[in-house]
Order: sequence, then C-alpha cells, then structure tokens
Amino acid sequence: MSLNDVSIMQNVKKQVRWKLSSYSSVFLTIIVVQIIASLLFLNGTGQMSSGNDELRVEIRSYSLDSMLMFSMITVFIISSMLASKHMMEENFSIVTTRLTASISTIVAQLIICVITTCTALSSFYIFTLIMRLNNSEEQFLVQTAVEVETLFLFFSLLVVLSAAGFFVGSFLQMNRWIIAIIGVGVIIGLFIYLVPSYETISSQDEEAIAANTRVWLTSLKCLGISAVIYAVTIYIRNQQEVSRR
Amino acid sequence: MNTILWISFITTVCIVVVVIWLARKLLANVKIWTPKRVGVFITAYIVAGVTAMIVLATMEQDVVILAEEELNTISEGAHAFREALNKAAYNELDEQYIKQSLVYEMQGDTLTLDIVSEEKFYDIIIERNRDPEVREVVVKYYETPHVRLGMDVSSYMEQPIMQLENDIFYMKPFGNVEIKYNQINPTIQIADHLVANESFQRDSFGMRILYLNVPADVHIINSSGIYIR
Repeated sequence: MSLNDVSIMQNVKKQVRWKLSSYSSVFLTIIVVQIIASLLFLNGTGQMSSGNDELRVEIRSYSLDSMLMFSMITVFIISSMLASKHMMEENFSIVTTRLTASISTIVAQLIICVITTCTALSSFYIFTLIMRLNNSEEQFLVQTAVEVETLFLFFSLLVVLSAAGFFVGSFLQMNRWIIAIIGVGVIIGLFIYLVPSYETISSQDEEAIAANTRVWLTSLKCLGISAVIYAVTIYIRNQQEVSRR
Repeated sequence: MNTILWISFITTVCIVVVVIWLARKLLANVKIWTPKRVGVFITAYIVAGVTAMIVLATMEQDVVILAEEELNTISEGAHAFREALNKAAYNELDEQYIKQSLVYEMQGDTLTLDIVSEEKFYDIIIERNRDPEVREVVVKYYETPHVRLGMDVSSYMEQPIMQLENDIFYMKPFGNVEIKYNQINPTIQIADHLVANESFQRDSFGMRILYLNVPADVHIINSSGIYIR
C-alpha cells in the first residue's frame, strides 16, 4: 500500500482529461447540430432593404446568429447532462473529491465552449463558401475577418448557458419542481440583466467606440454571472449526500 | 418576444434535443469514434474552416462597402452640392458631377420639354439667361454618387439619353434599379443591433439633377403644349 500526496491541480487536470475523453462524443454532437443550423439557415439569417422606387437595395445577410442560438442550446443541454446523477456517480470512478469533481466539470465545460466557438466559426465559413460557390450568379459582399470582441462575446454567451445548464442539472438532483422553477427564474433574470442599455450618443465615432465597449462589457458581465452561478453550483453540490453503490 | 420567435426557439430546442438523443443512441453502438479519432476530426474540421475563410477572403468581391474616410469625402461633396442647390448658386455646382451636357442654339422662341414621366427620379432646375445677345440653351445632367447602406452603387444607375433638336428637348425616363446581394459577415447581430447597421442606414444618399439654362425670352412648354414658364 502506498500513500501519495496529490494536489488539487493535478487531480483536476487528470479528471479534465478523463472527462473530455469519456465524453468526446459531445463534440461530434455539437458539430452535427451546427451543420443542421447551417443547413436550416442557407437562405440567410436576416434581410434588410434601403431605398425608394428609383433605387432599392436588398440585402440578405448571413451572420453567426443561427450558429450561436443552436450552440447555446446544445451547450446548455450538454452541461446539464454533465451534472446529472449518473455522470456524478461516474466521477467517483477515479480518485476525486466533490470539489475537484465540480471544478474539473467546469473546466471541461469551458474547454467545450472554446471548441464550440471554433467549430461554429468553421461551420460558418465552410457553409458560406459552399453557398457562394453554388450561387455564382448572385452578388456577394463577403467580410471574412471576425472581430475579437465578437468571438469573445460568442464564447461568453456559451459560458453563461453552460453555467446555467450545470446549475439546472445539479439542482434537478434535489427537489425537482422547486429547483426547476428557481432555475428558470434565474435564467430569465440573467437574460433581462444582459440586455444592453442604450445611451445618447453624439457622433458616429463615439457610437462605434460605445458599441465596442458595450460588447466587451456584455461579455465581461456574462463571465461574471457565470462565475457566480458556478460558485453557487459548487456550493450546492458540496452539500449533497454521498451516494453509495 | 413575439410568437414567431417563440416558435423558432421551441423548434430549435426540439431539433437540438433530438440530435443529442440520436447522437447518444448511435454513438453508444458505434465504436469507431474513439477520443483520438474525435480529436483528429475536430482538428480537421477547424482546419477546413480556416481554409474556407482564406478561400472566401481571396475571392473577388462583387460589392465593396466604402471605408469611413471615403464615405465622408463622398458625403461632404454631396452635401456641398445640395447646399449650392438650396442657395440657387448654380454656378457653384461641382462640375465633377456632370455626367452629360448639351449646348444648343435656339431657332424659335419656344422650347418644348419632352420629358414627361410620372416617376422621373430627378429634379429639374431651369435658370433664365437675361443676356439678350445669347440664344443658347445649355443642358447639364448632374449625378452625385449614389450610396446605399454604405455602398457606392453609382455604377448600377442608368445613364440618361438626351437629345435637343428642332427646339425640342427629349430625355428618356429612367427605369427602376433593384440591387440584391448577399452579405456574409461573421457578427452576432441579435446581440449587437448597436454596432454597424445604424450608420449604414444613415449612409444613403445620391441625387440626379437636370439643369437647363434657357434665354429669358424663350417660352417653355411640355410635350402636351402646356406652358411651363
């Protein structure tokens, strides 16, 4: 018999690796969902027009909106599944404590969010290229460069939904009805809180700066809220009884 | 949130739930997707995405959104042109916007304008020349750059066909122009209805002006014979 001192960091690292390889199929699921989202929105995610009878310009736009919506829902469901009783019991198949199990699940979720952001962008570019090649007679205005704040916002929104999924999944282990109501209430509250506020903006430059700042602020707000949800979820999971198998 | 958005949201949730459920069922029985292979597949997918982005970036653009500075220059020129029109300072109208011009020596004392059209899509300015020695009619067609949603669409504008003979001025009416295009932009529009679209909406301008300089004693009538001036 031997006793080894294993630090929390090492334990978490080991578990994250184990979790990601055990649940690697979630990445395939995410890609399949993103492909479906791309196929459903092949006709564009929005439309706008400008002009009068003399000259009318109609724009069919393709943005990351559909990809974001589908990815957020997928991440939410996957995160709540990762917090399920079955998954929690599986956590104890390797050396772990409740704390390290929760932290490693959160880290795994963050990695899932990063990869989801990357695959979402890939899906967007692959399908827009296919669409462009298929509709060579139509006119295109292509802006390929993605802004850092857009990527960060995409990731932050995924993290919020991931945290919310983890929270709901963990709470569902307790009194289901009360918990489901609290969970839904918290999520609705978060979305109301996340709606950006509008200020009076004088010039166009100020407007652009304010818009970028608001995007960054919204992202940071999302991450802040996610941190709070994760902390509450860890606390709740630590209060739960140890299951015997 | 309106009903359509709710329906779309619920449909999206249903699709995702079905896909996750199916994926779990299928992948539980199919053992080919080992973690290593999944890793390779994700890497390949991301590389394919990057390649697609590079290909898209190197493809020729059909329409170009004007840069801020370029847009400002065009906008300032158009504004100065409008100011000159408002002040009736026709000699200050910028000549770079002249697309066509005619000079014609009047034979009689009545000029007929055969430019009848319900939707002519341009303004007519008639200036009188008080110099009794001058019998010339000067016609100038001005067109400032047409910008819509931040794009210079002047090249789509139909150019006029003008004729001035036997004291009759004829100009073929313009047709409607409709431009449709697809904008591919990796942004999150639902989250930031704030960023670019508002400025695009503002950046829409463009004018067409038909200017006639006619001797003061010449009567101007339309093609139906109705006296105009």
